[in-house]
Amino acid sequence: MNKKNYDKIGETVYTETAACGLRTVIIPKKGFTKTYALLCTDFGSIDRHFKVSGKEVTIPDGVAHFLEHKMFEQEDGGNAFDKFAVYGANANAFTNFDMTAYLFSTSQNYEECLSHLLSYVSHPYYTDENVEKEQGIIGQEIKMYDDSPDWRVFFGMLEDMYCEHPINIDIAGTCEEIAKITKETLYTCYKSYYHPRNMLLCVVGNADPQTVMEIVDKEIPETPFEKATTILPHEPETVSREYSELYMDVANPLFMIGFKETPCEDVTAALAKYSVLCELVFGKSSKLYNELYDEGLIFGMGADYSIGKQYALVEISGEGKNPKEVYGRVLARIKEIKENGFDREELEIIKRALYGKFVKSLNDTDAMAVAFASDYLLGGDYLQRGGRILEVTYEDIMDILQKGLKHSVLSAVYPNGENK
Amino acid sequence: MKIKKIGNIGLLSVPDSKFKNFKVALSFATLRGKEYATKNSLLLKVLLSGCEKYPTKKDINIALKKLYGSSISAANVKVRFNLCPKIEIDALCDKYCGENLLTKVFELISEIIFKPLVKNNAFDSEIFERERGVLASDIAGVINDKRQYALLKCLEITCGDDPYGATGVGDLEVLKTVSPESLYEHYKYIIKNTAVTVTAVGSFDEEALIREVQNIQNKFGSGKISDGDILKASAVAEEVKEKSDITQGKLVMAFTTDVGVSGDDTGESVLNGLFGGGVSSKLFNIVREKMSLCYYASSSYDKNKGIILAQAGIDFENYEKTTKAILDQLTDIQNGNFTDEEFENVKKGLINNAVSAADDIDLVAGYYNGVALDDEITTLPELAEKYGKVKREQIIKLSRLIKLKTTYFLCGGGAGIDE
Repeated sequence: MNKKNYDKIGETVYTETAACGLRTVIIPKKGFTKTYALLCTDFGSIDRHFKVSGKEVTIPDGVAHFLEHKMFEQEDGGNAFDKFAVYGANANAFTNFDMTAYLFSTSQNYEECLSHLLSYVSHPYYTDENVEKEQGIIGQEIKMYDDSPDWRVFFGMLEDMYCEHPINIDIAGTCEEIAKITKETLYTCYKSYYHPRNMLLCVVGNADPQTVMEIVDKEIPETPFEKATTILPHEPETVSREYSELYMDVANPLFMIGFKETPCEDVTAALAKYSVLCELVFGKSSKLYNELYDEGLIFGMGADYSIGKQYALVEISGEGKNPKEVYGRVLARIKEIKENGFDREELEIIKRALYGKFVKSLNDTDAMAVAFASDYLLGGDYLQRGGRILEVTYEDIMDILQKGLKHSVLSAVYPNGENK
Repeated sequence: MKIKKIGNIGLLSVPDSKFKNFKVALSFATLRGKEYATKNSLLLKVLLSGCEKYPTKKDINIALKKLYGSSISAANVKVRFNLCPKIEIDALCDKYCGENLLTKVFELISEIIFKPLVKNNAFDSEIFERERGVLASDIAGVINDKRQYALLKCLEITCGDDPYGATGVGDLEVLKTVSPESLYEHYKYIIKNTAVTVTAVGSFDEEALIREVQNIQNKFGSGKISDGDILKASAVAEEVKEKSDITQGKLVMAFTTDVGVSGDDTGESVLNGLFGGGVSSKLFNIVREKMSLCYYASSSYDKNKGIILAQAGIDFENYEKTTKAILDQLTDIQNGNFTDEEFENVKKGLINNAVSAADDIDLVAGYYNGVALDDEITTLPELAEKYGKVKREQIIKLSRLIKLKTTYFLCGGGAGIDE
């Protein structure tokens, strides 16, 4: 087993690939009673077209998420939650663009919980009836998101930005698309993506690395693996459309501004550099934020960077009376910094602040496991993020400003009746 | 555990060196209701917008960033029958930054709280007007999240004239009447006439904390913690429907309990767990999983008022079916139609939540802030122990005291919320 110490931040990470091929990461936390375990597969909503056994397969939108719901179904008619409840654990699952994750958190019986997690995710059980039943539940989940202005403005932005890449499709799909899902679709995807070699187990908190590996070896046998290859369409550098709007029952306009960036190989470095850039240019202590706030153009605003399979973007979200004016000011400020540079001392203050924020994030077993797994699947190392933030230079930021932040969009949700 | 008194300040300190940071919160117990909610909210915004040493929001933000990304947050928290404006700061412990941030954090909080930008007994008018605009947007923005809006609306209707029903955000009509002068009066009242509590959790030196609290204790006055009663049941339940431009109906049902009978309300929490508290509950397993009516069906228990709020997001035409299904689950509990295993699982889940919460600094802070006004403070391990002692018969008995008070349904067909 590999052991890596991160002395400065007081963490130790154990990694090993089990005989079955499951990559396993254990981060024991001293003094913690709680164990948080995340079993994830490299299969998300954007994996909707793939090649396996020489055949190309295209699936309806929302399958990864649908499969996640159905994983809880047990052959005996029960539900995977039931056993976790007997052990006194909380269990859940989630699907995002890049992965599907199954998890539990518990302060007791972590070994039994881990066995159960590995076991139920290894035993799919889909029937026509249970697939149909889920269509009702997920249909309601889709409608719940339809009523969320934050979700709508976010997907408005992604639709504006991406022409072909399936990141522009809602993770849960639509009611029409999920109606096309059958038990056969689910089994095909399960066989293609749920092999231990395509998965990662990340355990954080109260856990003994050796015990975790023994449980993995006991629960998951070695089986042959044929890797499915996701086929992502060619995505142009430019955006699909620069602006979109919609009207909902909201009090004030909401907006999201997106910049389509080129994904890069070194994920940890990209996340470090862009987090500094976002804080420096758009953050609460920035010139831009304070001007917009003082002039009453925004009530609040935040910026973030995401990277995944063949996509990377900067998103700025906020609320304010005039999204178009804010958009113009954002672009103008970027141009200004590109031409005139920025204060080096401010950069040092921001790096220190982000480093502090990163260290604080290591208290949270749940968020830490999710961040670690997400970065790991993309080839990054979350625990190096803090150190990489401190290494960001003035030139790094200027380099992004010169080469990136070129293709942008604005998505807005206006109150019903406004501007119509 | 009892709260420590340092001068007029009540100090609740829960140190735990496994965390890499600490959180310190100052809160002030005011009365409930729209007026206090509005003035408290606006005051918090104005205080965090500038002070003598850091005259702008930007200056405060830079000061925080220099303290290794410390963050400051403000909220109006409902604690028992009080509304408590709270300022909380979150900072790294010295081990990871090589500096003792506790003293610096107290210096910053002191600057913000004791030296605001005031001229002629009034807050700076420019900041005041800007922050009033932001608060107006926050208040109006409550409608953006329809699920949350439906919960707040149901609570408001359920409470009727009781000020408990007012949201902590504030009220637009009251906001119009507040001036820089009247807000400054409110500030003086907060500092001099309310009960002040400091809660500290995480990794810090307790002796140093006590010294910091001693340094500021003579700046505060004292006040009473207000008392109230749980909500009484109605003879007839009220049904309210509102229209909005939505695709999914948001159903909320409010029930009164009778906490007064048992005193200790751990039983109500377990009862809520069985009814709709999580994935072991009847609402999840029957209304969602078996009946396939919704994605979310859950309930929450408000111990301050003894209210259980059940909620579900459903198709408009399933209103009757779902309300009936929710009531049927309650009837089932009243008739003892649940297995010993289901009951034990719910208890195990609650025990796990209480024990696990101790490993999450935000949950630790949230929990202790919520009980800081109690005469005798139940610690998280004690809470876990109490859950373990709840008996099946007790739950059935308590469930029979539960009465439906309000059914609220936010349904489709409107261009905006009908007021």
